[in-house]
Amino acid sequence: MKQFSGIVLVAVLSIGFSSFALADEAAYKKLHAEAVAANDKALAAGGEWRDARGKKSKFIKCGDKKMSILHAAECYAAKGDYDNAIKYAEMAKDQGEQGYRQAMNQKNAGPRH
Amino acid sequence: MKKVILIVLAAGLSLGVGPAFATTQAEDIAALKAYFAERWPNIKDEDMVNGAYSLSEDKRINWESMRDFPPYEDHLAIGEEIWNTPFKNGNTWASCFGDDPSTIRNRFPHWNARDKKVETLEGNIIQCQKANGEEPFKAKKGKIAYFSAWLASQANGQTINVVVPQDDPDAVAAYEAGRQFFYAKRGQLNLSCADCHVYQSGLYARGNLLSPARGHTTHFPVWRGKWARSGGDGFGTLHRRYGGCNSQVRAKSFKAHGEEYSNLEYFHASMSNGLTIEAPDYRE
Ligand code: HEC
Repeated sequence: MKQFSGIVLVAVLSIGFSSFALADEAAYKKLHAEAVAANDKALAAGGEWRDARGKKSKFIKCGDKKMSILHAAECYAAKGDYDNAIKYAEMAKDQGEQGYRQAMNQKNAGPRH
Repeated sequence: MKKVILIVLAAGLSLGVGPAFATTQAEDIAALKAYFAERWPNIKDEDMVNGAYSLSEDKRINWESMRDFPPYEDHLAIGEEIWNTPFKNGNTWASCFGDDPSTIRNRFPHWNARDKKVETLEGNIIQCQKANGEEPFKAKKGKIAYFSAWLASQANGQTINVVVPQDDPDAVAAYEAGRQFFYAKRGQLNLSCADCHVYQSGLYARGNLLSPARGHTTHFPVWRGKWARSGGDGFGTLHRRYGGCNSQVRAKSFKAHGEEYSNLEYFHASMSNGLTIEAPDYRE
């Protein structure tokens, strides 16, 4: 009986746990897609930033390696570390949005002397 | 610490947005010349070709000693060899550029009215190779820089006169796109080319003395100590420099010889009209 309740407990816990993980994974995937879209939009406007997802960027560390923000998000997601994956996907999305706003804002830039 | 200084500089500069500008090329050049003449009354316009080395005595002394024994002579010789080597199909570079190598550098950048685009020297070198079935050079360094440097050296002393045909709205639009690029703030640091090379020129950013934009293009390709230290030789083209200057404000750089940098060069080289070609040259 004791053993049985132990098994139930483990089962309940692990269902709970994995559904957390699933929720995190889903949140990450959504943010990742939004980050890609935001940076595509910035790119099309000529305003993408260097570190959002640049191949050569060495901005954020994941393990011993340095990489762009979105690559770091992917690297953490692959390790199952969704806290960091979400954090960096959000950051990459934010940079994409800022880059786009900046490009729009600077559309008519010219001399001010 | 250095980073902090640059970010503070960036924050201080993030001022308002300008209106759309309806000035002509001639007006832009005159305004920039007047701005620098007022900023540095003691520096002659013709000395603007020396960039930061006109602004600091210490840096000038260093630079002059580098120029006594230029590190790039062997690479210029390779450039000349490239000019003298026919393509596999038997054609020569003259089939694209004409017979006289001294007349080539100063024809670029220019407006190609038929294809409706700005042409640059390095862009056309690559185009010529492709048209002749040759493997094109890499875009920003190596052979393209040696060859371009040798061609530029053949044009030394000629007066720069980039022409923007005012009766061609497409040419004017390309020039204006280049100007917009030059004045637009970019990247996470929110700085424009003009922030560093007009408004902050003569000041230091990360230990570098910022050169004025007038005279920027007169001496390219350049041999940079920094590039020589980062592997390979020190030669690089103007678009390599553009990429570096975009990247240091944490903006994504653009493709060498693509539309953005070619239009930028059209405007940027215009700002050196009236100065003479002095190429190649050494830079830190
Ligand atoms: C954060 C400041 C900064 C910004 C913004 C910047 N640059 Fe630079 N640039 C430098 C520094 C530092 C150097 C090296 C010192 C010097 O010559 O000014 C340099 C050098 C150059 C040179 C070589 C000058 C020479 O004498 O050979 C060119 C050309 C140039 N920049 C063009 C540009 C263009 C075009 C842009 C905009 C796309 C730009 N820079 C944006 C800092 C900046």
